[in-house]
Amino acid sequence: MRTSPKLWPRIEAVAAHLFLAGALLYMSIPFLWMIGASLKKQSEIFRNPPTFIPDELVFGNYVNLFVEFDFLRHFLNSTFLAVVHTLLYLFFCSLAGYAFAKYEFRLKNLLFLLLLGSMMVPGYTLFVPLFVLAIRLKLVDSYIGVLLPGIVGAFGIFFMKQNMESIPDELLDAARIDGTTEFGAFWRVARPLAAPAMAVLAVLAFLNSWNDFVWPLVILRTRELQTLPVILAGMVGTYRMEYGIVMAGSFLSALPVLILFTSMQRNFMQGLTVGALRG
Amino acid sequence: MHSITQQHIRERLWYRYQRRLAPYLFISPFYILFVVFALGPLIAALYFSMIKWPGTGPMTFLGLANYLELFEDEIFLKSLGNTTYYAIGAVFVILPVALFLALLINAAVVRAKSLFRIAFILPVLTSTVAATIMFLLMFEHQYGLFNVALEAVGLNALKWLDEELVKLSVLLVAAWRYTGLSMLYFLAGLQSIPTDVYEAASVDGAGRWTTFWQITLPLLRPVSLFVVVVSIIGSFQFFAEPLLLAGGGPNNASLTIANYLYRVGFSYLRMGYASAVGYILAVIIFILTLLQLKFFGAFGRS
Amino acid sequence: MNTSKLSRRDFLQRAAFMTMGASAATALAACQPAATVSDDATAGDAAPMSEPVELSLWTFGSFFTDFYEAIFPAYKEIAPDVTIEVQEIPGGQLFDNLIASFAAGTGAPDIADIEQGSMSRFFKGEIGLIDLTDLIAPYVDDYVMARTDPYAYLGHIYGIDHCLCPVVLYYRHDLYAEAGIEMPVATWQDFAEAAQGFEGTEAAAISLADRSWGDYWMLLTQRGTGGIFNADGEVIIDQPEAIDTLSFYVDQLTSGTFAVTPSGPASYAALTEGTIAGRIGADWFGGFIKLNVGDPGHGLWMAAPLPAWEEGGARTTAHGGTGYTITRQSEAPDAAWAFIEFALFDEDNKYIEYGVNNLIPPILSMLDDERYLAPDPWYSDQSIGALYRDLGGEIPRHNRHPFFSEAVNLLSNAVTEAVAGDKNPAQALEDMAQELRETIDKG
Repeated sequence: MRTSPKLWPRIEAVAAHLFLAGALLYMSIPFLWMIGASLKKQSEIFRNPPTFIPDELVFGNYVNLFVEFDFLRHFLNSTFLAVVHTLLYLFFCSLAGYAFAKYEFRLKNLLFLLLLGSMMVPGYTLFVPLFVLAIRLKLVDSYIGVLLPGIVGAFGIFFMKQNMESIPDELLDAARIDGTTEFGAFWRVARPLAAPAMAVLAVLAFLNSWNDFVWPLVILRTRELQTLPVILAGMVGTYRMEYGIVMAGSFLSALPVLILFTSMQRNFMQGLTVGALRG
Repeated sequence: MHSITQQHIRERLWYRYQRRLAPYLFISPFYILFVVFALGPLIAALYFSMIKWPGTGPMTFLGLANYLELFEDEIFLKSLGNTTYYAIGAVFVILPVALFLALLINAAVVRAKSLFRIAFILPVLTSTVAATIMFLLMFEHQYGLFNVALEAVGLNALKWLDEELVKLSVLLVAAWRYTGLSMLYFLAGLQSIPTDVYEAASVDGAGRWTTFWQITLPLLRPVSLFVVVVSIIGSFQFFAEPLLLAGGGPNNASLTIANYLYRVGFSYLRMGYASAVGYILAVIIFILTLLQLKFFGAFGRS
Repeated sequence: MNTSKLSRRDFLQRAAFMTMGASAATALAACQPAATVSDDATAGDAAPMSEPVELSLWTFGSFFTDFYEAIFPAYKEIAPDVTIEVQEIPGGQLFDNLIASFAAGTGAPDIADIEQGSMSRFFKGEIGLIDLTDLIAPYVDDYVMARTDPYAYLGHIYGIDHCLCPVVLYYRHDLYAEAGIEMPVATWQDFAEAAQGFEGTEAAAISLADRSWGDYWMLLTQRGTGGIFNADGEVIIDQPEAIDTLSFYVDQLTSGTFAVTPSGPASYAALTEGTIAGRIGADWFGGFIKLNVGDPGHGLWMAAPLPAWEEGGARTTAHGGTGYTITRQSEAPDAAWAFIEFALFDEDNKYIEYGVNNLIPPILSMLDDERYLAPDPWYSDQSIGALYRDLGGEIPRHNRHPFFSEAVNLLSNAVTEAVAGDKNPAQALEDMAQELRETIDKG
C-alpha cells in the first residue's frame, strides 16, 4: 500500500518533534529537579526515584538566600562584570575575527596558529605563574583585574572568524567604493550580517563571565566585591550543607542568562537572504 | 589647485594606509593581552616542565626527564586512553547528534523552535551540584532512572559507575552538558546560509539528502571546523564531570589527563611533572588541530 | 594554671598581652602559674599600647565565615587594634591558591583553614607553615592531641583542628533490635557474629561508602597502629594489623554483614528507605544523617561506640576535620596565634561554632556543658554529646607524611582490588606498600 503524498511529511514532522521532545526531556530534567529541590525541605531532596514536585512547598531557602547570604549584592556584582565583559568581548572578538576572515596579511597563518595554540595549554598548567603575575601587576582586589585578561579571547575570535567567512566580499567592496573606512565596513556591513553568530557569542560570553570561579578567587579579596558563583560554592560545606539554599541560589543565578538568551531569540532567526546581500 | 592635489594624495595615501594597517589594528588587542598575560606564564610553565620542584624550595633541573617519564607512567597512559575515548565520543557521537538537532530545529516543519532552543541551553545553566546529585541518583543501581528504564524494556540493570561502564556514564553526562552548546554553534552557522540557495536547489529538484551533502554541509564547513576543533580542545581538557561523578575512579578508569595533571600538580606538588603533562597535552591537541585545519582546507584558501 | 577549663578572662589577658607585640614564646609564659600579666590587668589597659595589626584569614565555607564573623565583635573588644579580614575561597580552590602563594613567595594569608585531607602536601619542599608545636604545648592536657595528627610530621605540629570528629556507629535501633543485636557490642569479632541476625532481611548491619577508602581508613586508624606510616615516616601498610583489618573488611562484605551503599546523594536516599541499618561516621556525618533523612527517621536512629578491635581497645577514631594554620608569610604570627587561641580555646566561642557548624570541640572539658549534653529528640532522646565526650579521649594517634595524598590514592585502588577479589588483601596491601615506597624513594 502506498502512502499518500501528504502523509509522509506529516509522519516526518511527528517523528522530528518526538525526537526533539526526547532530547528536551533529557536536557531539562536536572534543571527542573533543581527548581523542585529549591522548594523542598532538606529531608525531601534525596529520594530515589527523584521527585520533582515537593510534598510540602518551602520558600525558606529563597528567604535565607537574601537574608543570610546577601544574595542581591553578589548578584549585582556578577551582573555588572558579565555585562561589561560581554560588551568588550563581543567587540574585540568580532573585530579580530573579521580581520582573520576577510583580510590577507603577512604572517596571518602563523598568527592564527599562535591564537589557536593559546587555547591548548590547560589552565592549571598556568595557574601558578598567573597567580604571581596578578600580584606583580597589582590587579588584586579590583574589577579591572577581573575583567582585563578576558576582554578578548581566542575562542571568540575563532568563532567569529568562522562565521564571518561567509560574508560576501562584494558587499564590503561596495561599502569601500562609497568611501567608508575599513572600520566602517566592519561596523556597518559585517557586524549586522553576523548578528546570529554575535547573539550566540553574547550568550556564551555572558555565561563564561557569570560562571567564572577561579580567576575572581585569585583577584578579589573583599567579600563585598565577590561574585555569585564563589558565594554559591561557599555554601557547599564539607561538614555541613544545606542543599535547598544552594539549589535556590543556582536557580536564581540561571535566570539572567535565561532572560538574555530568550531576548536574543529574534537574532538567532535572522537568516541571510540574497535580498539582504544586495543591501 | 596645488594644495588640493596634495590633500587628495594625502587622503588617498591615508586611505590605502588604513586599509593595510586595519587587520593588524583589529587583531592587536588579543596579541597585546597575549604578551602581557599569557606569554610569561607559558614560558614559565615550559621551564617548570624541565625541573623538579615541589612548589617551594630549591629547583632541580632535569632537562627532558619529566617528558621521558611520562611514557612509562601507567596512570598517565591510562588517562590518555580514557581522554581519547571521551574525545572520540565527543567528535563522533555528540557532534553528529548536535548537528542533527540543529537541522531539525532549523527545519520549516518544526514548531516551538524557541522552546527547544531554550531547553538545550538549560544544561549549561544547571548548577554542577544539582547535576552531580541528579546523575548520581539516576545511575544508582536499584532505583536509578537508567536502570528502571532498562528493566522496563526487559533488559538487565547495569552497574553504571563500575570500572567497565564508568566512561560511558561520564560520556552520557558530557552529552547532556555539551550537546546543546554545539547545537547552538551549528544553528548559528545554518542561519548564515542564505535561504535563496535552498530555494534554488529545490527548484532544481534536488532531494533533501542531496541538498544536505551538496549544499548545507559544504556551506557549513567554516562553522564545522570551529565546532570540531573546539570539541577536541574541550574533550582533551575535560575535567569536571569525571571528577564529580566518580572521582576519576574506580581504579582511575574515568580519569582524564586534566584530572591527572591536577592531581600530580596540586595534590602531589610535582609542579614540574604536571607542567610536562600540560605541555604534552597541548602538543597532542595542537597536532590534532593541525590535521583538522588541513582536512577542512583552512590553509591556502584565497 | 587552671587546666580543666579556660575562661574567657584568661583569653583577655593572653590576647591582650600578645597584641602588645611580645614574642609568642614570652607570651606563653603568661599562662604559666606565675603569670607575667598581673591578675588585675585588663584588655582595656593593655590594648592602647599596641600597634594596629591587620590579619587575613582564608577559609573555605560559608559556615566557617559565619562563625568568624560571629566572634569578631567580642575579639574587637579585647584586641581593638587587630582587624581580621576573612576571605572565603570555596572548595579545593583555597589549597590551590595557597600552593600558588607559597610558590610565589607572596600573597598568602596570615591564617589559613586547611582541610585535614589537603594538609600533608604542604609537608613537601620548604614548609610554608609555622611550626606550632611549642605554642600548643600549654594545652596538651586539655586538648585531644590526636586531633593535631593530621597536621603533624616527624613530631612537628603545623596545624590544630577545630573539631573532635569522633567516629561512632549510627544505627537504626528498631532494625538492630529485630536482628537481636544488643548495643553496644564489645569487639568487631562479636559484632560479626551478632550481625548474622540480619541474614534474610533487606538491610545489612553496616553499609559502607561505595568506592571509597574512607571506611577502611576509619577501621584501620581505630587500631592505633598509626595508619599507613609509622612515626618515623616509614610505610607500614603491609603490616599484619593493616592486612587483618582489610581481610575483616572484605570478609564482612562477602558475608553480607557489611554492604556497599552508593556513595553521596544516593546513600541519603537509601538511608530513608530503610535498606541501611547502620553507618560508621564522625559527628558531622551524624549531622548529615539527621538533616537529610529528616522527619521520616525521627526517633529511629541512635549512636553507639564502635566495637573495639580487642577488649579494652579504642572504641572510636577520628574522621575529617579542619585545622588552623599560620603561614610563614605572616608578618604578625603572634597576633594570628592569639586569635586562634581566642577562637579555639574559649568555650563560649566554641559553642558559637557548634551552633553554626555542628562541630564538636576537641576539648573534652568543654563537653561537660549541658548545651552539648542535652538529649537529641531525633536521635531517640539519646545524649549524643555524652557519647562523643566519653569516647573523645580514646581517639588513637596516627601519622601523616608528605606522600600521604599519593598513599591515599594507592590505598583506594588497593581496597577496590581486594573488594573486587582481584587480589587477596595481603597481596593488595603488599603491592601497594611496594609501590608507595618506590614513589617516595623517587621523590
